[in-house]
Amino acid sequence: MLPSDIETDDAYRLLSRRHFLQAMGATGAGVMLGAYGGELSAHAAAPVGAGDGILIVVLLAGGNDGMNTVAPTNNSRYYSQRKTLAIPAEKALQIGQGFGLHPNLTYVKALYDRGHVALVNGVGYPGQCLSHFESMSTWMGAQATAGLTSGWLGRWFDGIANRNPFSMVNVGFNVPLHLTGRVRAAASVSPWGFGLGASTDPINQRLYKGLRGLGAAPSGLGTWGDLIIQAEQDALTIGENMASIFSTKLPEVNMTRDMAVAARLINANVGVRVVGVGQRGYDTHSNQPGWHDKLLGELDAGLRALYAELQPGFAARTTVLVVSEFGRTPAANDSGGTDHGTANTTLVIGQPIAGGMYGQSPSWTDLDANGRFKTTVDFRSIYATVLERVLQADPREILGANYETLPLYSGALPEGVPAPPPLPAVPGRLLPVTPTRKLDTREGNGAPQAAFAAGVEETVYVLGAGSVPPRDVTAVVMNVTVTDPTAAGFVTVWPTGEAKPNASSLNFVAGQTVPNLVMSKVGANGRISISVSEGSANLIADVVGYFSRAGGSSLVPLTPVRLRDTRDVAGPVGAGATIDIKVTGAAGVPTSGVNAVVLNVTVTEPTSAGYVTVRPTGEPLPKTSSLNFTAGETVPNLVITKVGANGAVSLFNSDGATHLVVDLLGWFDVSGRGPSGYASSPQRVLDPRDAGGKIGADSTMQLKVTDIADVPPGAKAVVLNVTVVDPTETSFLIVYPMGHPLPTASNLNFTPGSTVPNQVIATVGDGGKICIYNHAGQTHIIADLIGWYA
Amino acid sequence: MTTSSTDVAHLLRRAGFGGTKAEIDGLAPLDLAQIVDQLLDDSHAPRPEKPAAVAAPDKADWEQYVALGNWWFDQMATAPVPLLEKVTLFWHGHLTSAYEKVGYTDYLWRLHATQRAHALGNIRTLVQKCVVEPAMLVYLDNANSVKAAPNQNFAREMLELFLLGVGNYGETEVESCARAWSGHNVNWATEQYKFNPDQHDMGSKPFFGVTRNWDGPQIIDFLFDDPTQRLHVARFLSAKLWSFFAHPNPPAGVVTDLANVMYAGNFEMKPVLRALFLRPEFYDQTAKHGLVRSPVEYLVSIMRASGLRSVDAEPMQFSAGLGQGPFNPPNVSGWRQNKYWITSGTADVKSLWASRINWVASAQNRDIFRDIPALPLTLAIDTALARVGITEPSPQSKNALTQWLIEQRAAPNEGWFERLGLTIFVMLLPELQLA
Repeated sequence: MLPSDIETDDAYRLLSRRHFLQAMGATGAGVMLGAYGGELSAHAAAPVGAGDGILIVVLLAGGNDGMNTVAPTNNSRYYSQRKTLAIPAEKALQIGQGFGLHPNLTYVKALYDRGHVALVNGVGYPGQCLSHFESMSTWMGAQATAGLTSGWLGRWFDGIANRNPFSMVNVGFNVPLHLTGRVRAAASVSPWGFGLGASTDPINQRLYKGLRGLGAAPSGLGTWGDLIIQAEQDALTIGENMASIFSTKLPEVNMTRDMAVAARLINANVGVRVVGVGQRGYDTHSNQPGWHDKLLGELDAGLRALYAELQPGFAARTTVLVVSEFGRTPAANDSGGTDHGTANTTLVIGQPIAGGMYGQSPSWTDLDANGRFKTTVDFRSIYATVLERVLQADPREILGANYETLPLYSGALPEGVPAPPPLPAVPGRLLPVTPTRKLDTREGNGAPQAAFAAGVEETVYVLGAGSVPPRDVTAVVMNVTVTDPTAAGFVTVWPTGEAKPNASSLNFVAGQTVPNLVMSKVGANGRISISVSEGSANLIADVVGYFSRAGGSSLVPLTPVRLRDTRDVAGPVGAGATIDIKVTGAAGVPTSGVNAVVLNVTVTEPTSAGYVTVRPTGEPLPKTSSLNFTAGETVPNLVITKVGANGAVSLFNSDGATHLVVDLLGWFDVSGRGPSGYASSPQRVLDPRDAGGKIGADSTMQLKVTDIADVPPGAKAVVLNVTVVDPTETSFLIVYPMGHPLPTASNLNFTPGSTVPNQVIATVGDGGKICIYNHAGQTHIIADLIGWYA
Repeated sequence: MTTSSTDVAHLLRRAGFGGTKAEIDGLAPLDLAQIVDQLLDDSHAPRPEKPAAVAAPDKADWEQYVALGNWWFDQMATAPVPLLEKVTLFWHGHLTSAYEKVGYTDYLWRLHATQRAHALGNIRTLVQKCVVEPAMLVYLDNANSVKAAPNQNFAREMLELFLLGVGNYGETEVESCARAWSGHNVNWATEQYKFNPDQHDMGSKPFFGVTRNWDGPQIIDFLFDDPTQRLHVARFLSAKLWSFFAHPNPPAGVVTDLANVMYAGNFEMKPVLRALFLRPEFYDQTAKHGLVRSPVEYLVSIMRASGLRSVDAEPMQFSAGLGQGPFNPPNVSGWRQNKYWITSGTADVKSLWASRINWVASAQNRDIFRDIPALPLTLAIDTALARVGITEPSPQSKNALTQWLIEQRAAPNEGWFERLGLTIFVMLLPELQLA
C-alpha cells in the first residue's frame, strides 16, 4: 500500500465539480457520472493497443538512501563519511565504473547484467527544502509551477484519447496524488481481494443490484457523499471485471504481494497502462543497516515476483520506475543513520531500457549550502522521457515546461499488440445443466449456416444464455459432434485469445459423424475457438455443464464400473426407445447429494444411423445429442449428466436398434466439498512419435500425469482427450489408476482402421501415474491433457 | 433557546462519534452553549490505568500492541465523554509515534496516557510532556542524538509538523533545535527519558535571531512565549483543529479568531474548542458536508451505536486494512483526510469487514441485526438504520435499501442471507462514512 503522503482534497474538489457539470450537461438528471470521469461503470475494459507501453511506478516513501543502494565503492570519501554505514566494496554487487549495488539487490543485479536497468544519478530538483511532504508533493505533482492540485500521471490519465477505466490502477487502499488528475483518478484495487462485484451467486448479484441503486441519483449529502457512492459503484465494476486476479494465492510479504497483483492486473489484458505500488519506511535516521537491508531485500523480491508473473508479451513493453522523495545526507549521523538529503539515484527498469549509468554521480566535496549533494539531473527529465517513450504523451503538456529527455531506451517498444497470456488455470466446481445447444452450423445456430472450412478459426459465444451465467465461468463442458466432414482430420477447441494449441479435441475420417465431450476454458469475451484441420465439416456443440468459481459440485472420481451392457441382458434398444439406469446407491455412489454423474456411453452394432441422448430421468427430451453414429459403427463418448428422479438417468435411441454399454466413471458431490476442477489450455502429453510407436495387444503403458504442464503433484484426477489412430484390430482401451487392478469398464472402443477420440476422466494412481490398457491388436494412442481435479 | 436536532446530531458526530436519537432528543431543548459546555465537561471521565492485556508479561509485544489498540477502540466505543477520546485521537495523529519503528508497546501506551491526560488541558504542557516520552524520542531518533552529531529528525518534524508549519522557519532553526535537543535521550536500562549533560551541546546557537545556549525544552517554551512565534503556533494549531473538526481549508477569519482565543487563553484547549463549536460556520453546509469519517471514526461510530465490541469487530485488523492502524501512522505527519479514505479499495475492505462481523457474531446469535428479519419491512429498515446511528437517512439511501430488502425477502429459501446482506448494505451507506 502507498503511504498517505499528500492531501488530495484539492484535486478531488476540482475533479468532482467538473464531473457534476458533465453529468448535468451530458445526461440531465438521473444518471450520476463517476467520480473518475464516469467511465468506469459505463465502459468495458479493452486490451492495450498496438505499441502501447506500460508503466509501474514504485514509490519508496521516506527518502531512500541512494548512496547505499548504488554505492560508490571506489570513493574513499564515501567510506570516511559513512563509516560503518558504508557498503564494503567486497560485499557490494559490483557493476563496474566504481559502483556496486546493495548486497540484497541480487535480482536487480541480474537485470542490470542483462542490460535492463538504467541507474540515473544525481536526480532531484533545485530549491529542495528537505521536508518529506514538500518534496514528495513536488515529485508527485511534477508541475513547473507550484501547486498541489493534481499529479503528473493523473494529468496524463485526464488527457488520453481512449479512456479505458482500467488504464490506471493503484495497488492499495488509497490513491496517492501522482495518480490523481484534474478530472479523473486511478482506480484502486485492495490487495486483500474483492469484497464487491466478484461473485456470480444470485444472492450476491441481488445485493450488488441493490447497491447500484445508491448511485441512481446524487446522494444529497455533498461532494464527499457522492464520491463515496461512486467509489462503491467502481468497486462493483472492478470486481466484476477483474475477479480472476485473486483466484490464485498471493505471496504474503506486502511488497511481493503488491507487485504480484500489479503483474496480474497487467496480465488480465484489460488495458492497464499505469500501476502504482508503494513501499514505506525509508526514513532511516537511525539504525539504518538493519532497516534498509530489509527494505531493499523486499523491493528486490517484489521485482522478482513481478517478472515471475508478468507474461512475456507484457514484460517486453513494461517499464518500472522506482522513485523516492529525496536521498540522504552524505555523512552518517551518530544514530547509525542518515538525515534528509537531496540528489538521489533513480532506477528505471525494463526490457526496453538501455541499461547502464546515467546522469552524474554527485560530488562528495562540492556540496550545497546545507552540506547536501548537488543535483545534476532534474527528476522531470526522467518523467518526460517516460511520458514520451512509454505513454506516448507530450511531456510539455503534462509537466508544463520542456525538460530534456534522457536516452534511457534502446529502441522502440515492441510493435503490435502483446499476445494475450494463457488464462490462468482457475479452480471451479461443476454446475451441470440441462444440455443447451450453442452451435449448429447446419442450422446457422451460433455461427453462419455453413460448414467450417479448414484452417479458419471460428469463435462461438458459450456463456450468457440458457442456464449458463454471463460471467464467472471458468470453463465449459460441451458435447461436440462433427458431421459430414469432407476429409479425414481433427477439430481443435481452445479458449479464444490464446494461441491455437497442438492438440485435438475430436478426430474423424471423411463422412463420419463423431461426438466427443470437450472441456475448455472460456476465452476472451466469453468465447471459445474452434478450428477444423482438413476439408470442411459441420459442427454441433451442446453445453452440458460449466465450472464456476462461485460454487457448484465437485467431482468424486471412481475406478470405472460397468452399469449396463445390453449385449449381456435385455438386448438392443429400439428406435425411439428409452432405457433408465439407476446410478445412485450403487458402486460407491451415495443415495443423496449426487448432482450429476460421469458416464462413458458406447454404442455398438447399430442397425442404422442415429443418435443417443442422455438426460436426467423425468425431464423432457432435449434437442441435443450425446452420441451420433452411423450403421455398424462402434462409438464411445463421455457423458456428464444431471441425475433425475429416483437417482436415475435416461438413454434415448433415435433410430434403428443399437446396443449400449454404460460405464460409471464418477459423480459430482453437491456439497462441493471434494476436489475443484481446473481447466487448462490443451496440451499434448502423449504422442505416438514419442511413445515408440504402437501399443501392442494385451499391453499396458504408464503415463505420468502430475507434475507436468501445470498439473500439481496432488491432483486427484486428470481430464484427457484420448484418441486411437490406425488400430489393427477391434479392441478397446481401459484407462485406470496406477497400482489398481484392471477394471472391466472400457473408455474407448474401436474397429480396425478407425480414428476414435474420447474424453477420459482418469483417477491418478501411484506415483502420479495412470495406466492405459489395450485389449487386442496394435494402435497409436494420442493423449491431450485438458484439465485436472485437485 | 433550543437547538435544532440536525445541529445537535452534527455536533455529536464531530465532538464525538455520533449520538443516538435519545441523546439528540435529550440535548435539543438546551441552547447551544449549554450543550457545548456539557460536552466539554470531562470531570466524570474515567482515568484508565494501564490495561491488563498490555501489561501481560506472557504476551508477545505484538499481541500487546494489538490488545492496546483494541482496548482503545473499546474505550472510544463506550466513553462517557466522547470528546475526550476524539481530542485524544486528534493528538494521536499530531504528536505521532509508530509501532512499526518503536516496536515496544509499553512506550506507546505511556505516550497515549500522556496525551489522554492532557488532551483537554494545556497545549504547551502536553507538548512538553510528549516530546520527552521515549516513544517520541525513539520514533524521531532523538534517543541517541548527541552533541557530536545531533540528529535532525525530531528537530525538523517538531518545527514543521508539530508547531509551526513549513515555511515558518529556516535551516538554521532546524540545526540549532537539533543541537539544543542533543543529550535528551533514553536510559535503556530504566526505559525512561534521561538528560545526558555530557552529550548535550552547550554552545551558543542562533534560533529565530536569538543566539544563546539553548536547551531543548527552552526552545519549545520560546515558541509558546515569543509574541511572533506564539501567533504562528496558535494559527498553525487552530487551522489544524478546524480541519479536524469542521473541514479542511478553513476560512481565514475563523483561523484568526480561533488563534486569538488560543493565544489569549494561554493555549488551554477547552476555550478554543468551545469557540470552535460555537462558530456559526461550524453549522453551515460546507462544514456539515465537509468531512469523511476516518477509518477509526467509522469503526468506532458503528461500534458505539450498535454495542459491538472489539472482540467481535476486530477493529485493529480492519482499521489497518482501511489505512489507519492506530499507534502505527504511515509517517510522522499522521493521517490525511477526506478523499484519502474514499477509494474503490476501501469500499471492498468495508464490505469484507461487514461480512466478517456478521459471520463471527451470528454464529453466536449476537450479530447486530439478528432481530431484523422478524420485523415488517418499514420497521426493519428504520430499526436497522437507527441501530448504527443513522438518525436522518437520505431518501436515496432509504429507497435503495428498501428496494433490495423487498427483493431479498421475495426470494424463496434465502432468508438466511438477510442479516448478512443487511450488514453489508448498511455499512456501505454514505451516512455512516461521513463525519
